[in-house]
Amino acid sequence: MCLHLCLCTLHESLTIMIEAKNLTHVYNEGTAMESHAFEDVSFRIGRGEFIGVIGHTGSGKSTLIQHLNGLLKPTGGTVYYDGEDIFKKGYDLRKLRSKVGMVFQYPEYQLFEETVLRDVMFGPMNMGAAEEEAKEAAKRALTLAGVGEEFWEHSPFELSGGQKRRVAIAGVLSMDPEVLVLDEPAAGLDPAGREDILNTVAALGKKKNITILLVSHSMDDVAQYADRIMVLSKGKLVFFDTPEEVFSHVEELEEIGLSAPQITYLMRDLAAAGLPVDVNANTVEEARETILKALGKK
Amino acid sequence: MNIIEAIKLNFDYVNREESDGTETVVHALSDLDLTIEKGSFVCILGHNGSGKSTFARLINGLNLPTEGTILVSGMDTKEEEKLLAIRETAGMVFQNPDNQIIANVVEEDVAFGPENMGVPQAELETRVTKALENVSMTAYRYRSPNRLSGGQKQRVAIAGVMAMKPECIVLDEPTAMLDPTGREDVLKTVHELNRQDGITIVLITHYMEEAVDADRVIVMDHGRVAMDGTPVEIFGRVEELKKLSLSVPVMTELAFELKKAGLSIPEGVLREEELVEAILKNR
Repeated sequence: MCLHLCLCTLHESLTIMIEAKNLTHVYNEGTAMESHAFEDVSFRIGRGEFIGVIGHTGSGKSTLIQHLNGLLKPTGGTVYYDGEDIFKKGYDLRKLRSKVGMVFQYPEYQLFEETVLRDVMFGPMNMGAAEEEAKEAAKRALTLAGVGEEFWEHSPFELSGGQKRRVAIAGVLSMDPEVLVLDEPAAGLDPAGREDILNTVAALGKKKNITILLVSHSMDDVAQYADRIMVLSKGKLVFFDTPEEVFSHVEELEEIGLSAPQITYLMRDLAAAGLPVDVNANTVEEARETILKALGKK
Repeated sequence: MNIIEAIKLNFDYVNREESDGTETVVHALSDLDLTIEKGSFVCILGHNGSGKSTFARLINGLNLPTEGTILVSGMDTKEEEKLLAIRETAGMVFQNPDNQIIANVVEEDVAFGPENMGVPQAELETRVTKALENVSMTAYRYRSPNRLSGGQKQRVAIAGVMAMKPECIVLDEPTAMLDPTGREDVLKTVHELNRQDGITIVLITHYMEEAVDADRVIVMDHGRVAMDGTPVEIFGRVEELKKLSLSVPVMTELAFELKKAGLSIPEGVLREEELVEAILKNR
């Protein structure tokens, strides 16, 4: 069921940025310890799309995303970036890594420089930019990530949890990426910090037409932000579709250790009680609209 | 009876600026007065930096108060000879399960704490068996912890604390890194321990939904108690919570929106089934 969905739900007008073809990763291939991280995964992601990636612990999501910038090599299949096979001989992986930026879990532990500005300058300098050029890139990135100028000369270690996350994201933005992959960027943040960081990421996607891949354990968050959701289970891509379509499969999601947004459950129960609401509503705003309409208050 | 009693509790730490060496004192807790009743299920909410985790570390004697006192079952954490007994009374579970697992086999991991306490071998067996039952992980007793999911690892960490027969368990964001099933399993487990074994639970979390079934919700801000009440009382104060960088459960938020739009919705909606019922009454 899935393969067809995965390939056809991409909006036709979008340029394809990333394409995975029959991607397979086997650990300890050919030994008694052989185990599949994931198997035969194919998908296409368009420029500027916001993709939510969900799956239970150990579903293969982290391993999968590390193939998108060549940090890990597949044991089968390949990844095309902008139409080019990134695992073919002579492909410039270093350049790719500046285009496909990754922000890993708890990125604040990777901050190390004396000041916020210097920390963000590290990437461009490492790619061979001159000091002034790197400084300009860092300033642009910090502004985009919402880190106020008053913090630039501070040590990154004195910032709040949410601010540190922003600095880490700016570190990746300073390389001017076309794709941004974020692994649980809101984990451990309070509700305001959580909303803040996700709004910042979504705005970046819109403003700079950056393709976003957001790995998250929060169904409510992906329902709210993602254009399409990729669902992994036991190394297989089981769904890749719009939030409405994916979250209409509540039972299948629960079977694989996930769930639907809380609102989805409410809508289903209201519909079961005979209230003519749209069961595809999965955010507070959508729910409000359809409930008021169903009750004739609109 | 109070199991935890904080009296004018203060905790300061020094933040040193790397670039110029200037030092500033941060008051993580300021004159915190707070008591937690034995057998209760208490949720502590608060924005990052509000002092929640510092409070947890002081309960367990991982940090000592700068000023003031914290008593655990009447024992003062400042008295060094009481520390072991305090840690047996109030066990801790942290956010990242991977940092808490130490042994190669689940049962060894669960036995680690009580073994260190000098519990004799025969008794140890019984405790490990009981603790694994408590968290529904008996089937994994002889497995390697590395192969477990995040939720399962967290339950093993809770079993390790249970095997020390604590009266109280303090959990600092135990579900932050877990998938939905893992979160649900951990929550179910701590509620059962509270209901069936009368263990006092102090749950620190950023997920408002996790506080819905608590007996009491405490909101911290600037190292003090900013709000204290039942879930219904606390989540009725939407605007105040937002000012403190917090929110309300999704169902409460939707109830609030629907009420604003003119529906008749009673106060204190926290759960899905309550909202379904309230909406249907508007037909």
